[in-house]
Amino acid sequence: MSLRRGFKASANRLSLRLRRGQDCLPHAPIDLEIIAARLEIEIAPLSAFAEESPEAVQQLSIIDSEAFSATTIRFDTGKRIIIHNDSHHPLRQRSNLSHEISHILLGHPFTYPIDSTGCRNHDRDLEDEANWLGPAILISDEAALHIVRQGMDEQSASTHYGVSLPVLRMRINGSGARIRHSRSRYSN
Amino acid sequence: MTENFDTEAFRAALDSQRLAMGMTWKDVAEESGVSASTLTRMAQGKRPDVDGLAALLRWSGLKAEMFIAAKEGTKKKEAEPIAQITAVLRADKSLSRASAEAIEQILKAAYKRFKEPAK
Repeated sequence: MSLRRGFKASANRLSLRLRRGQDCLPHAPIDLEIIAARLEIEIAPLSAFAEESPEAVQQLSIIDSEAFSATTIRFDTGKRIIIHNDSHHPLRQRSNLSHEISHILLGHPFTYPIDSTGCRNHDRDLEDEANWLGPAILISDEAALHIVRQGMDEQSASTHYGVSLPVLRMRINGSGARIRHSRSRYSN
Repeated sequence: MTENFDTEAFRAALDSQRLAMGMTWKDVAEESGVSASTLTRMAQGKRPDVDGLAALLRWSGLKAEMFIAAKEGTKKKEAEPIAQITAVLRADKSLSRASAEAIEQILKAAYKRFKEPAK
């Protein structure tokens, strides 16, 4: 994964800014529904469509629930709706929502999968950015450092921040929290 | 002379900047110094007043000339977003046909449900 220079630092600034908007401390857990409401993004769970499209909901929530995580519809009025698969585990739902919110915050365009020469057009860079920012929203660098400093075990940290263990580990490793913590111990 | 200032495009550009900074429209009003009602009026397609426009251009760093259409009727309309999303899913080989169709159904239902009535 190669992210453009400065992206990781700006992702954390954004994560902190979202926390300030909620009057949260830099290391606090974050409520994605409040973020979405503040940014005027509507969230609709898949199950909300059970009445009008029962077969489609059954296909995506029971028969093949891996096929769909979340997507965003953008209307030309600027209104944005995230539809997400609420048959997934609640922690995965948070990860899916955070990923979609990241695409919106980063201003990523909708991209066609096939380019003009008929080849598969997969924009890896945009996915990499959302894959970084999504978890960074859930666990800021300060939150990762807080977890390490407090000596929180993985299960408690996962519950406290509402993230799965893989996301937690990715953030602890990706934020450099352990190195920052050991440096601060030696410098004192 | 009829120069057309594209308020819709200007607001869309401001909206992108707002989201990139994780800001609400209220934050934009506070930082730029325009009234919240100016932003509300723009959301309804009305033009900002000259002072409001100047403040928003200063805040955003955008240039007014970017939003002046050369001639009425030449503005290229983007495809409806639902069409774009549908195209993406149909071409995704990793999806089974049944799931791709199910996603399309959900998106169409959502589009219908959330689409604002035409002004």
